[in-house]
Amino acid sequence: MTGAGTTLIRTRGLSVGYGTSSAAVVPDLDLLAGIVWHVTGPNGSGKTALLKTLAGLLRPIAGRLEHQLDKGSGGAVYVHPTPYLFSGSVRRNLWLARPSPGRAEHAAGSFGLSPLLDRDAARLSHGEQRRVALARAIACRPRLLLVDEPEGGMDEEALAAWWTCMIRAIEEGDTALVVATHGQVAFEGIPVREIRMSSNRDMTA
Amino acid sequence: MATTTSVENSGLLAAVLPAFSRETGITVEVLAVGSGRALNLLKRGEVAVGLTHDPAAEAAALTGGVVTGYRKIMFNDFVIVGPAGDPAGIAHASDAVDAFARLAAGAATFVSRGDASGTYSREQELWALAKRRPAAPRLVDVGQGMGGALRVASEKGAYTLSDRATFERFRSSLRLSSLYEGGTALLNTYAVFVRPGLSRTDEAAASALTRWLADGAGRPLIAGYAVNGQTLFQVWPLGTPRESPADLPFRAEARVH
Amino acid sequence: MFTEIGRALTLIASRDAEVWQITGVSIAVSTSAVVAAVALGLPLTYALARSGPRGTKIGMWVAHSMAALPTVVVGLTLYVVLSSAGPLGWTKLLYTRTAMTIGQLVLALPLVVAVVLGALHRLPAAASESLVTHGVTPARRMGWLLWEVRTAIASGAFLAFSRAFTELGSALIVGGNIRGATRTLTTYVALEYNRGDDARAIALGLILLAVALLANALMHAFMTEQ
Repeated sequence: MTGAGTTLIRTRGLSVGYGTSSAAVVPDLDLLAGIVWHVTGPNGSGKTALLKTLAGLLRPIAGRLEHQLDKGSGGAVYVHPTPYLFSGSVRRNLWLARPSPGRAEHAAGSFGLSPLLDRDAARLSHGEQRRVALARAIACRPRLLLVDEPEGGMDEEALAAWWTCMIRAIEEGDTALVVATHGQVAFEGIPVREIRMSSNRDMTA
Repeated sequence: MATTTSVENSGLLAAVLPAFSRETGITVEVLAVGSGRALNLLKRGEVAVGLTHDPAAEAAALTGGVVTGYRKIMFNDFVIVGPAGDPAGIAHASDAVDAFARLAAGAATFVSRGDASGTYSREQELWALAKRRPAAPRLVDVGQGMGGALRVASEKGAYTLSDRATFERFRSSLRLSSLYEGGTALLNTYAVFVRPGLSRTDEAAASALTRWLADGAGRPLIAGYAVNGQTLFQVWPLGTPRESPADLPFRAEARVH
Repeated sequence: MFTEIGRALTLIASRDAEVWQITGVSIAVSTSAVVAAVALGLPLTYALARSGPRGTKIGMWVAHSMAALPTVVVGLTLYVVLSSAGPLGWTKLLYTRTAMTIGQLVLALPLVVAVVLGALHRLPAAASESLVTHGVTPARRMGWLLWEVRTAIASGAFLAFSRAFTELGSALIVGGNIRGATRTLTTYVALEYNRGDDARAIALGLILLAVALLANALMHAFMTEQ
């Protein structure tokens, strides 16, 4: 388990949001690899803003982010609640981050997408599209995977397959998963920490 | 009234016709097209009066009964213009035909009107008399009025044949000089005529206009029209024959054709 | 009138050399102008879209204003600039096909920008965010996003071609209607009717109409596909 326990991102006094008037205060975090971070909180409490800020897609409103993570391969990747798939085949979408040979197929396999590789991505069901988005993210081997509400459109089997994939990556030790979801997050042998966002801007970690 | 672009470009009608309207109360609408087109318009009944400077076409129209009341009213000349350096050496030509022969032989470019205008007709006659013409890429056919042809010639440093009036009017914006002028071959005569078969009122108005230009108060106005201190047209001398397209403004044995 | 049209059709069918030469000039000039408009327009439009809502708004406003420029104004401005007395007179481009292409490029570019900018603007934020978060380089991001709006690019190109191909004002003023060189379908019809060769003028007018209608049909095909 190399790298387990490495700090991937550290935040201090962080506030996130889309403008100063709607900033949400975030508890100081030391995001360690090998852990699943479960972001909870009601709608509008800033869960998406937090994930996007950690991904580097959004500027912090206040406070600091200390990290050495790029975007994409070996860095931080964010998966939207409603993923955007580009026109073309599933295979083309998986190739987005230019994964090393074999990884795209491997990720596709983990999500049961192998038979769909040459299908037009626009014609898939919501659940299938989400699986493509997740496989696309995993294919580039991020160290920090930020998934925003993955449960929409996914049936139990698909979710289970996905968690399996995630667990494998975490067990290899140098990845962290940050997931914002209303659902349950619990795994055997993998520590889960909660980041609770609150609409009152209250903090508990 | 249909007239040629050269007459229009010279500004003569704009200067002279208002006086006619004031005197007679008749408004004249002027359509400026090539000489060939002007005769065409007359033939098709689109206009009542014509003012052109293409004796060959006019002769054909007269024989064909397309026009009536033919009268020469004024004249000036064509000039051969070109770049100041005169690479073709036409300034030393013995006459216009010789000048055209030198243009055909040399390396210079010549801009042709390429339309059925009086100027174009004269240009073709001169090539015919010189028995040669420039090889194709040196003869640039622009299919435009005199102003446009002069502009192109100026930009390309080429020669062209222009009526004096238009050249004087555009002179200050051009990089061209008048390199050869004079001689019968470059005489440019203008005539007016009306369409036969007009209604009483139209006929009266049309004749009023042609008479005014040929014999009436129009004469001194035409004679006095000047641009940059240069008179552009000379009125037809009284007593000189003027009813035939081949007439010249002086008693001479030699004719152009 | 019908005899003239009949003669015109015969002229087209007989593959009269001059008719096809003139058609060729029109097509060559307008196609180059549109190709240049797309080549310059796509990076420009992408940069405008990237610069945020304000840049997009300004870009749209400028594009729409320029798209309304009268063709003669473009022609006249270019004439003044390219004439021997003007700042770019030394290029000797006046009365050449290149000058005509430049004039039509000015007319075409705003149309390409307006159409493509609108389409890029309508893409969900998740599109560019997905690219960024997966570590796609800025150059490749442009490629991915422009591919997403390729239908708009095609429709913009055909719209621009329509405008360029059918315009008269600029082609006339900077081209000079020189036979065998800068004479196009529009300049021929505008000036040559003066000569009285109606059959040829009608023939060229018919070809002009046919190509213009075809370009319009293709543009609509791409637009509805969107």
